[in-house]
Amino acid sequence: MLSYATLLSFRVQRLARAADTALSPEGEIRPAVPGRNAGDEIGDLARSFTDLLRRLREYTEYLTTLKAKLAHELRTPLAVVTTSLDNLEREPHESHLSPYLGRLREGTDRLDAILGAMSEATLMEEAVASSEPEIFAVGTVIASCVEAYRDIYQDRHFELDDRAPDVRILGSADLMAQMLDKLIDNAVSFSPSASTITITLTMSERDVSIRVSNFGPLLPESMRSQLFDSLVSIREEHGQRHHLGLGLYIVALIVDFHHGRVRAEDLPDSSGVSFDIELPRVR
Amino acid sequence: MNSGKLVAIVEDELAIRENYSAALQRNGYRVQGYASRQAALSAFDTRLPDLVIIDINLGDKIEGGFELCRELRARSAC
Repeated sequence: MLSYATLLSFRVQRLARAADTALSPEGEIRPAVPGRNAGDEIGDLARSFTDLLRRLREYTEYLTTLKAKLAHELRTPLAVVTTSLDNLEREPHESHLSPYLGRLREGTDRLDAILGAMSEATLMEEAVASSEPEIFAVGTVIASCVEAYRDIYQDRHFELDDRAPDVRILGSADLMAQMLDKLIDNAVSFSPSASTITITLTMSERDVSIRVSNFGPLLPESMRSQLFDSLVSIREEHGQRHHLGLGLYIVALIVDFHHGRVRAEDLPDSSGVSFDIELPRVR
Repeated sequence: MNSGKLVAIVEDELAIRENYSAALQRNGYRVQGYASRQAALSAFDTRLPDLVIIDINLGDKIEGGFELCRELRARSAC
């Protein structure tokens, strides 16, 4: 009786452990639960778990590929609209039609930007998945990026304060540059013209911290927790442009690849916002 | 403006094919449109156009446009 109870307890514990570890640290679902060949009720439970996890994995895979499929499927009808519009704009038309054509162009440009961002996010997910980590000096990568930003965004000032010289991390210098691109693109979009965007590098015993701060509107209270999700839409303070949040999603993706943390907060004097990335140092 | 050069468009979406044709014709080009790789290839047996604009994703083949491009390159090298 005692040995039966011990065996039963072992099987239930094994099932519980399998359920706990069904989701790998990389987010992969492992549906093979042990003990599913047993003919009793615990076997039934193991089979049910396996079936549930398998269906969950199928649905997750469907969701993962949905973005790429949608972007691809929407490209053709969008091309029909934009090429028709190209022709329409070149035909003689009465002047009162011009504002409508202008709005049509704005709308198609926006759709095009959204689809571009969706495709870019998919490409980035693939790039992250296939990257081989290597050790590199994070300050050097950031310094060369900042030089480029000064050329690209001439109506902003960039201040680089590197208080962590020669700190190295394990990861991908390319992805790090792309992460900074997204943070800077975000900072430029939400900050007033001629303002200063500050990039600060600091270090602690274990981490290096990269902070990008800009003047401008504070973070929207209602969606603070969703800022780094895919397809979150935030309207800029002044412009008409919608941000789909894919830029910050890509930031989160790259931070995750480097086993780091990212958070966004308002500046203490409420003059703007900052994004802080903490990444483990190589020592 | 009127070069009279012959441009072929291989694109399986009728509306896009016609829109590109109209734009090119407006700029003085002669245009032939084809909906598939096979239709384009049999027409090119008779005469090669001066320029071909090819959709990458043709019909069922995701990269059918590249295949056509390779075949065309082989023919024009002759």
